[in-house]
Amino acid sequence: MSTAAGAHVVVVGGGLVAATLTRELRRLGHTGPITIVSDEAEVPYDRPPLSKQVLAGTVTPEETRLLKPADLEDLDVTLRLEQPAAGLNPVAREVELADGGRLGYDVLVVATGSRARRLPTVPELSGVHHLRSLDDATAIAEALPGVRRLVVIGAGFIGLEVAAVARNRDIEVTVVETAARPLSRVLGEDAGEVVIELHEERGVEVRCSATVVEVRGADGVEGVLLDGGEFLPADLLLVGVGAVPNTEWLEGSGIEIDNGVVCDDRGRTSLPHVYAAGDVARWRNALTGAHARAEQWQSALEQASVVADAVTGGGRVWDTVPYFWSDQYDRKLQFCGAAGPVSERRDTARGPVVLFGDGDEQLVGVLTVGNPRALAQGRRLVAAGTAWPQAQEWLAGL
Amino acid sequence: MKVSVDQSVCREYANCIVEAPDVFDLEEDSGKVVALVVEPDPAQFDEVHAAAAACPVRAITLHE
Repeated sequence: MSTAAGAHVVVVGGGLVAATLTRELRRLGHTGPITIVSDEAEVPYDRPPLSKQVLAGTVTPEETRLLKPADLEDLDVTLRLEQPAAGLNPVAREVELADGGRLGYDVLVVATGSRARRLPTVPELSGVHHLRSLDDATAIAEALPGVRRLVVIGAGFIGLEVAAVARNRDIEVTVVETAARPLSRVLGEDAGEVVIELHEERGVEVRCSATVVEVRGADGVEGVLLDGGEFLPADLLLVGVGAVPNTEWLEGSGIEIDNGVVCDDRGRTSLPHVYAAGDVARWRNALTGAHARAEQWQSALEQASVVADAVTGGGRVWDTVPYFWSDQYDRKLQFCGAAGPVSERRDTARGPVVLFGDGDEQLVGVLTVGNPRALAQGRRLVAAGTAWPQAQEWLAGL
Repeated sequence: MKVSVDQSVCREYANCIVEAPDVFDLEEDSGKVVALVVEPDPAQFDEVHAAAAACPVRAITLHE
């Protein structure tokens, strides 16, 4: 499905995928118009700093912008901000906009991302926050100076990163997690211990196997009641319980959706001339065979790059080892691959390293804390399908 | 193509050395990025582009 260099490429969703795709298309020689349609008022911005440096005040909202004014001109891209997409007509090859307008495309890239999952038990009180957009981050940053007690629901990345920023400001922090370990969905049960240690050493209380059954407050949030009957007072409540792909606008278009827009390993959807990438998409990974929504910065970046390649007539597939990082306190928590059933931990001078094996004598994942170089080596070892005994030897030498 | 790196911006993610291990490294002591090759071979251009794009803080600049 290669496309003429002059084709009109429309990206719906103004985040990392849109910015990366635009840069890559121009680098690969695409000369046709590129239009980014976004429901937000902001130019595409980078999300990882929102739960870290933007909250800590070390990165300004302007610094998170992925396309500066000069880039917009150099890349000759049209931005249509505050324009939510309402529908897709694949026969007419048109995106229907919420204001009734229609936008024709030759190639469409669906990149509408995801939104913070809401909990039915959490009412919309003042002091209750979710964190997904720049506006969310700004609101939390403004509230933090007046906060004495923070409760975080959900020991995922967003929740743990906000916990770290708040703890650095001497705020009392309790993290409540329903599962037995933090990040168990990505790291499995055992490796979550590394995360608990990281936070408990700094005075955060991590309550696993606990569920918030009620949020109390009249004008503003006052605290949460746990399933064991305990009441935790809070003047700020952060809910970080995962994300939901923004696919509703595609209903009725005929595109295949199953926990995200279903894509092959080049980002092609079930509709001709329509690709999807990033949090909204469920790609097949040609290396691991996994077919899952990735929800990671690195994956969105790589997928945007593969789509740009496909649009300009290339044949690349997405075949890299999934990877993410998280900044918590002064440490980097980095993970690549998958959490296999077998694991081995070693506490190196720089910090803990955990290897994951598939139980069939192969290395499938690596977790490091404070050791980026080891993670980078580990990522290559996972990609190479390194045998478990060799991986153990590598670990012993770190 | 010429490669330049800004150590004052680098936050030691090491994403670059995954993408282009023959072009970038992290200094042993500081942990900051260094360019092992200033003028990469055309065969390395794709991985150098990938390394620059994979840097979350854009510490790598390519002059083409």
